[in-house]
Amino acid sequence: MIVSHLTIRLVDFSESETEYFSAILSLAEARLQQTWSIVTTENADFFVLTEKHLKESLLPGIPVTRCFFYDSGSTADNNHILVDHTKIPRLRSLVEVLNKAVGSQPPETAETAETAETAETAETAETAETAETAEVGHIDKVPEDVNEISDVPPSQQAAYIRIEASPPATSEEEAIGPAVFSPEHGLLKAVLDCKSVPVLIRVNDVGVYLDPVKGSYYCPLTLEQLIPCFDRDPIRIKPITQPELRQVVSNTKLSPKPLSNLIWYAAFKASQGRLLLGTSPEDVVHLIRWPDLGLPGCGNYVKLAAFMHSNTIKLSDIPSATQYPVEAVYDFYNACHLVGLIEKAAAIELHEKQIDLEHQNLLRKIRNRLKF
Amino acid sequence: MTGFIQTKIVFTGCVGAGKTTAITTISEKTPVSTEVKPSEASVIKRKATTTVAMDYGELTLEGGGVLYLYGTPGQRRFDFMTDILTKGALGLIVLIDNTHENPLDEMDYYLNLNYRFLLKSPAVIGITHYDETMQPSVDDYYSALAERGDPWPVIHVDARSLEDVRLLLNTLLAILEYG
Ligand SMILES: Nc1nc2c(ncn2[C@@H]2O[C@H](COP(=O)(O)OP(=O)(O)OP(=O)(O)O)[C@@H](O)[C@H]2O)c(=O)[nH]1
Ligand SMILES: [Mg+2]
Repeated sequence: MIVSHLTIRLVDFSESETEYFSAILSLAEARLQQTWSIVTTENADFFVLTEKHLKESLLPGIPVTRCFFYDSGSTADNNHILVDHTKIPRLRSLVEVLNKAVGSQPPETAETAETAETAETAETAETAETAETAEVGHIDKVPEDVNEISDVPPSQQAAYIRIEASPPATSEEEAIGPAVFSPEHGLLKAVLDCKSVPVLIRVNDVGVYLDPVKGSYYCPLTLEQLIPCFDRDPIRIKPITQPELRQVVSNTKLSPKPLSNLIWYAAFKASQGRLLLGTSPEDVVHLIRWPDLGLPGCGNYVKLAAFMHSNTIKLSDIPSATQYPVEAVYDFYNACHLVGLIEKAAAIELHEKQIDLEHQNLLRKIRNRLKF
Repeated sequence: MTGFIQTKIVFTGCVGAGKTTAITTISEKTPVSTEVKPSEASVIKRKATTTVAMDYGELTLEGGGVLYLYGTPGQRRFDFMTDILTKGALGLIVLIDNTHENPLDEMDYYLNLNYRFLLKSPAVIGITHYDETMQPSVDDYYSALAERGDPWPVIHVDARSLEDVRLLLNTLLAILEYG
């Protein structure tokens, strides 16, 4: 798999346009042969400009060959990202354009089209007015098929988006397990996909409310209690309005918890030693900020965090440099990546500490003492 | 960093953040604390007793060495103790009470106060009383640190929890090794 990293600068985008764009792009990423990040720096691999720049002259310093334009009409030109009438870029066109831009063949598969479909359906459903407020963490069995829900009237069933289980594993995957971690299941996928409006997510018996705008979630269960939901399908997602969410919160007296903690922990647990799709062991990476070290299990990773925070290094070199097993490095990396704490870099930058033996011994002794 | 033979870690931070509590939580001997009734008006409002001079605790290391734990007094008029206590320390744990009126300013204040020490030694920021209020959030602290250009980790902790105090110290050790 070709993996490279693209930076994209959104020129003159409003906050909500940026949000929409990021949401679609993160869905697209699974189908791209690149990973990407939206940057605010002067320079970037690609620039996405709003329509008005088509008419006006380009901004100085932005090379036209690396520009895409938002175009609200249908477009025949591959240099345009297709947008629908609400100016939301459609997934398929984005995948084609970006893959083409880096000189590789667009993976025009049925799957791509399916994903595009899902994204578009999701958008439609997110704006659906009908939303029923349910109790947080409500324990009622979610039926295997949404269409079989007996207690939800058909008019309201439409408000749910059902995420199906992914295709069954191939025989090779069954033998050795899938080589890459693709967050395509359960609560983790739902949380990653939810980028604009509050939703109620149901996995089996568990209900979780998300407020992506405030970056919070509401659930009476602890992160550890949610583990079985992280990569279990089927899940049901139902968009709700902010007033509905406020109502639920005031009825249940639940306090908001950081959404990034849910994503971090879910990815950390669901990775199971596999590297995130779109990342190569050869990628040079840097931890730009510390994760919440108070998260369950994260306390065992302080040395790894400190190392990745002060060095920019190939992923494949981290296990030997830190003595953490490669699987642990991948679990930690994936979790940090999915909450935006990882930056990929072009060059390795090592800040090796010159610690004499005496000092090393001292640190070891203190660490040992802290164990009991 | 120089002077590795010194084994001392200092807890600093605002009044009521839990410096005395943290040292009491982890110290293996009954810690020495210099608690008196507070004199500063702002402190009287918050607590019945406050540390003057310092807190002091110990952890015995294998081979007979000792890790000394010092806590600075929170009242501003004892700020001069900070320089004395941090001399030769391995690093600093800065505890900030999240229920304080301006906790972000408090963090700023203690990082500035220890500016010279932190040029060569690391710090870990521990946010206490997070169970009482999550505002400002850990993210807000990181934003404030980013504005200062400081790389220190921020951890929400409860100074009464042994696990949490251990996490603060282990994180400081990790930066000493790799940071
Ligand atoms: N609820 C809550 N209480 C805490 C937490 N951490 C510490 N405390 C309590 O807060 C108080 C802190 O007091 P001290 O440990 O004396 O604070 P200090 O930093 O030494 O204060 P000064 O010496 O006056 O500067 C104690 O009553 C602790 O039990 C926390 O995370 N949550
Ligand atoms: Mg005290």
